Amino acid sequence: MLEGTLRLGFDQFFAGVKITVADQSGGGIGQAITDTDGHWAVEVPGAGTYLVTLDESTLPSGMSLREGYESTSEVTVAAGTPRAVVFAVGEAPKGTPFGERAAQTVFNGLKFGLIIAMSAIGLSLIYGTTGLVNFAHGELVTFGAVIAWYFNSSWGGLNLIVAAIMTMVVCGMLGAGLETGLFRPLRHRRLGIFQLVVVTIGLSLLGRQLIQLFFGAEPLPYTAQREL
Amino acid sequence: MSFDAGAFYDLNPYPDGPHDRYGVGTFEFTGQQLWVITVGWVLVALVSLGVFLVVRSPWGRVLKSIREDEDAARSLGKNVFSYKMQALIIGGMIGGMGGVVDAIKTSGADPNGFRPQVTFFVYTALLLGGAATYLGPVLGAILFWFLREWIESFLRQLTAEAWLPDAVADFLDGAEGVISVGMVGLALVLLMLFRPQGIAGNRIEMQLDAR
Repeated sequence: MLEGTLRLGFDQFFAGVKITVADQSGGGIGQAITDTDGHWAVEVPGAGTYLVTLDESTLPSGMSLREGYESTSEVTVAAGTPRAVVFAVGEAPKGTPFGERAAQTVFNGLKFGLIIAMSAIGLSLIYGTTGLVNFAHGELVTFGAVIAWYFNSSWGGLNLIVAAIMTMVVCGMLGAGLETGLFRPLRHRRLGIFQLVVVTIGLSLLGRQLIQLFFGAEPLPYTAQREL
Repeated sequence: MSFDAGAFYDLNPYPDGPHDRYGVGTFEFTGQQLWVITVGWVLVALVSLGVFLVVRSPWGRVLKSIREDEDAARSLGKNVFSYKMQALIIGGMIGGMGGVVDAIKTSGADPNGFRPQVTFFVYTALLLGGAATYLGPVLGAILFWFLREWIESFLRQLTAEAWLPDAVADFLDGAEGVISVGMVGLALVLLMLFRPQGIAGNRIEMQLDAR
């Protein structure tokens, strides 16, 4: 079966447009008129290649096929599955102006670079002082983000700045706890740097799954900033 | 990217009709799956044998001496860089074989499918069995995958059979995969804490870089 829907945007549908289907040698198979939802469908005898033609004169007045698109398109149908046919009608959607896009991209780049830079400074600090390649650093960053969300929206509805300060305290305690509770005893047991790195890999897997378990994998929006 | 693995499956000696099933008890494979399994395990056996022979050879002794003391090996006139490079080439080839079998199994290779987690899983399998041993990685890989799948289906079964209080079941529902991967991480940490040499490993060999 061949089918399709003619529409402009998501709310304007074209009714009464004639679609003709022919086989490759030009023999007619059938035709259809789009209904009020702009939908049409033509049964074809089986798998094969067909020519689908849209009758431009039946389009609503003022509408025509988009420049560069043919009114006839060749489609291959597989046995047993409906195949959608695409016709481009009306004017091409306008993109965002270049200046706006450039500004947005620069802003996104700055924002992302800032996050990476902050994380990298922390990573470098850990590596510089303990010689440990911390594979779980990304999880610490994620932990900070979800804890800030927890203070900000779920738990207290605190002001984001207050939440951020509390998050820094909590993450500092987590780091101190990992060092005193895990890495220092391990170093005292004369574990090699390789084993310590493997421990951080394990922590990375564990931390990521724990965060996902308790906070889910969906984006969590911070609540809008409130007055102090 | 998918590709046609037909040439590989043309060599399949097992009849692969729609009703052909092989296996013991609840383990069931189609003829195609059994063919991939056979080729995979034959490759594992060949590679294990090859590594065993190569490490016992003079070449392998040079590698060991480089690991123990690079400067000593160099002072005896061995080209350390070249030996390290050869070891990396062989290791890369073996890893590549694994990738080929994996791609044949799924009839496709998706670069996004090889996330850092794949490396982490390989590390877990290696360390579970014991690094610097011949059969440790193989043993580790079997145990690791068995435990991972076992934990996941065990949790699924628990929630499906409604043996748990509702609150716990709701918490677990849909999170079985997450928990089993988390368990892998926990296992890595505990392994390093209590048995850093793995199941078959030698503790002395693992402490070489400890200062």
